Amino acid sequence: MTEEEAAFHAAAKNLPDPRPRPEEELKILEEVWRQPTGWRLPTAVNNNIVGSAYVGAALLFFVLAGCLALLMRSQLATPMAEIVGQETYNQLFTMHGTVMMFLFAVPAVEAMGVLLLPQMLAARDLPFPRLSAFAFWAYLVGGLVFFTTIFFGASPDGGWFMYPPLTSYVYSPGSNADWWLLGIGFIEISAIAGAIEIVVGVLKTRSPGMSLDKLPLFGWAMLVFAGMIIVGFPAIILGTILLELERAFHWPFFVAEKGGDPLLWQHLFWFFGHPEVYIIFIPAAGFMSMIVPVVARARLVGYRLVVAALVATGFISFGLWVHHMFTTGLPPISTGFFSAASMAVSIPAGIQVFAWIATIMAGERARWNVPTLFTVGFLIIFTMGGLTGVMVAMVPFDWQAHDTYFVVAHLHYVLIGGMVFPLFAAIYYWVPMVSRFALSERLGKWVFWLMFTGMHLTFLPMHWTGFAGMPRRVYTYLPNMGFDGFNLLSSIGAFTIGAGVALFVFDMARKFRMTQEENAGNVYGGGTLEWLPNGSYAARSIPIVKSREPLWDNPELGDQVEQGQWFLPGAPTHRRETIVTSPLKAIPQYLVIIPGPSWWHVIAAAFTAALFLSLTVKLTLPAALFGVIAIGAMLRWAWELDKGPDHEPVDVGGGLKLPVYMLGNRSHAIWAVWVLIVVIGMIFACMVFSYLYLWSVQPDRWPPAGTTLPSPLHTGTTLLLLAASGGLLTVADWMLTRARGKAIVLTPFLGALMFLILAIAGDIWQWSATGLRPGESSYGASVFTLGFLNSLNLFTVALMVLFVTARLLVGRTDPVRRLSFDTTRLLWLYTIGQTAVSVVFAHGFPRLVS
Amino acid sequence: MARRSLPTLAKWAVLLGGPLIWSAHLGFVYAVATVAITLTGEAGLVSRVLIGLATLVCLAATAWIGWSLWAGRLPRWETPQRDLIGLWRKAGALLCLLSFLAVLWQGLPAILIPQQPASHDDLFGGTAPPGPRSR
Repeated sequence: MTEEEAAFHAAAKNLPDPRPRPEEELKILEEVWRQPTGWRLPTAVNNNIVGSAYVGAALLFFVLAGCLALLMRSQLATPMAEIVGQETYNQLFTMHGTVMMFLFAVPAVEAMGVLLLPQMLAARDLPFPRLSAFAFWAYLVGGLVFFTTIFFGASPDGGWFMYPPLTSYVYSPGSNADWWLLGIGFIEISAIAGAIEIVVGVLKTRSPGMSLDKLPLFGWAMLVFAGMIIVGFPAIILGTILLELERAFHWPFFVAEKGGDPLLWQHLFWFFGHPEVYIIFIPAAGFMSMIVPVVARARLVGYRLVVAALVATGFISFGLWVHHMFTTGLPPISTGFFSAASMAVSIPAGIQVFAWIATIMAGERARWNVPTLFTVGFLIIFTMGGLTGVMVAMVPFDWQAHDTYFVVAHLHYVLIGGMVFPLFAAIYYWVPMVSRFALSERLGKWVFWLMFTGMHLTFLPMHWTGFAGMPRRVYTYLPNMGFDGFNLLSSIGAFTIGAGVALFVFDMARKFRMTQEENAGNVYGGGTLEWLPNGSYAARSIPIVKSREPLWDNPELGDQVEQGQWFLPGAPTHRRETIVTSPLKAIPQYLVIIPGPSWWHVIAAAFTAALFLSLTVKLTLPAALFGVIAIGAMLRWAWELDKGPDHEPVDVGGGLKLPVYMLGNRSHAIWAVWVLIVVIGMIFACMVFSYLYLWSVQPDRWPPAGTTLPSPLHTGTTLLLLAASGGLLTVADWMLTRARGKAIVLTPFLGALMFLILAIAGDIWQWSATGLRPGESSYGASVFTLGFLNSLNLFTVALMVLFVTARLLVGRTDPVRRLSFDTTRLLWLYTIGQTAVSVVFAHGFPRLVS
Repeated sequence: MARRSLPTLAKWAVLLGGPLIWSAHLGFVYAVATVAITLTGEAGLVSRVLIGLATLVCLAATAWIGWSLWAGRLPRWETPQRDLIGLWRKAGALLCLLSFLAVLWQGLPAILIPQQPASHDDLFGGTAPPGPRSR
């Protein structure tokens, strides 16, 4: 047993401590966690405010995208209708898919994570609350501006998957496609920011004793969800970079006559796009695993199996992307591999469905409240969608059904069943946690039945419409082709769903009143920690968790927590803080100081959005200005962090003393940087895949005839420069550790940066000197994109170096208070490694294959 | 002297052993088939034998890890904590079982899908879907 574990177990014997707490303790706690009001409300970072606003914004986009769907269904209700024209219709279906997937589904589940996780883990907040708030504001500002393009006819119109060559500069010369590429590209950044927060939050801020076997399944689901975003989103980030480079500078990644291939886009898009379906399904499965036991009044059957199923789904979903490309003419053996994976993924989904059914059967007679109805509706609809999914996983069937309304029916059964119904169940279930009133049961049942019948009325006929041969994405059809009746039914069904959603919005407006202290409470009788008595500081004290449903097993826990009988009943450092625990067993390690309200992350988010949006409309100078302001605000935001061990170790209760600062691999900041490195590494890996893919398409043009490769001497020089950079960085680290003077630390530190610049810029220059040009061939474009990615890393490292230098000069970084230095060093070492790999790869591979 | 316990990352690797092997297998078989088609124009015998061997190795590895977990032979797990170890054992073993099945299915195309499948026109008549590409 480690010292930490021994200290924790010793303290656990003294808790709960029934002695009364000092009177001023609660007042200080409330003061520290008081939320800004009035015009300062946007500066709030408390997870319940940010989370609720985040969910609200996602629902707004759901309604907006739903309105677009109603327009489409109006157009298709009768043959040869003329409600909207072809071009508008193209924008409508593109925006409907894009907004539903990027601005509703992913943000909605991420928002639910921000809202629920701290409460469920009994943390005061997630470890990077300003990052969550940044993600929210960037998403809201960017999303709203993106949506308004529909009113000006400037929306993207190439489908939510944006296949080139249709979306490249030849066939889409306007800015419509740029709105998608830059608008969505930047919303992906917001999603990744949220994912970093969730990974570190779930693994490091759980309540003491909540080892992973006691983690609520929503926590497991969000962990898998965030992991999938970290692995999957980089592919689409790289894809958008490549397509935008092709559109803006004519770098021919997708132009066949210059060695490119449009199918590369499909590989990159669907490597993200298929897991995306599971990215939104897995949190929804987490909702179900939390709600089903409560409505059935039974513990979940097969907790360990469900954990395994979530993890298996997370992995296998990355092996399915090619099943969107079965009709592109890929070799049969390749499609066979992915067909096998497509069928394999149905097993873990089936395990979960059977676990929920078994739980319902094992429990008392289920209470037919609104969450129960949406849960059962989910089971029916999702299972139907899953069955048609197995059908389209078979290559010969897919050839017949591809791009017909059968697929539209399948994907809506999966997405509405697998995400929308669970989300509605979750909203009805958890609204009492943050609202003065629960939503109406009576109206809720109307909402359910309207949505449930509307769902089937809309999408069930589409299976037959598809079999009858009606293709997707056509704005009208001729009469008497066998489509008329089915389409009319679908349109009636769509408006029925719309009526259900409108009723839900009405009920929300009537009943939802945001509050923490006077919430409606645990109306459904949940057993997990989010139902503890709450304030703006979350739970008054942080209990030791001994089971998966602590409120069911210890009915007195709520009172004990409220009276401050467990850990951290106050704010001992007079700042916002929560306990950081070990990732597996949740043993307390240290007390993290959490940043509070601020304008800086709001400014950073607004100007990051402005930067991307200005780039979209080619306003280069304003974009540069907005970029500088955004970066400045981020640096100012970071300036206040890394406060060092400015407080003695704190007695958090039961005699357990925790430090208030942590370095090394236990630090949550170091964890966040590691997660970021995985994201950057995945972008790089996707680029290497793209390079190899383009080689395999036209190996005789790799490199194009007449290309000169940089000499081995140049390769060696670049590697030496990188080694020198790493060596000097190590010297700087060594000097800082030994508390040498500022000049002695800064000289090797800045020298190391110079060597890194020389290595990366020198490599790009050397390729230019060989006469290679990125616009002339996909080979040249790929080589320079590798250099471009290295340069992006260099830019980030350089900014961080300047930041750390400033901190060193004013004494904010020193041998003890050095987290800024350590995080910079970690990213720097990764950059050296990535650059070395890319140099060896780009210089060596053409020699190898030629 | 007690042995040092596994670091956290290694413990995760034990839990995720099955899916990690599945991922490596998918990447390998896809890459081998692609390289073979790029260099020779078809996924010939050599590539299929390689895929078969990789499949057997991966099946053996998932079976061994899965059985070890099920039997409770967790490597160097310091503090006994029954529930957490139970999760690792049962969930890890199930992940290995699922991965075993997925690897097995993924290896079958090397045996079942011929190099020159019957053409669409031969089977059904009419217009064939797009012909095979190099990828």
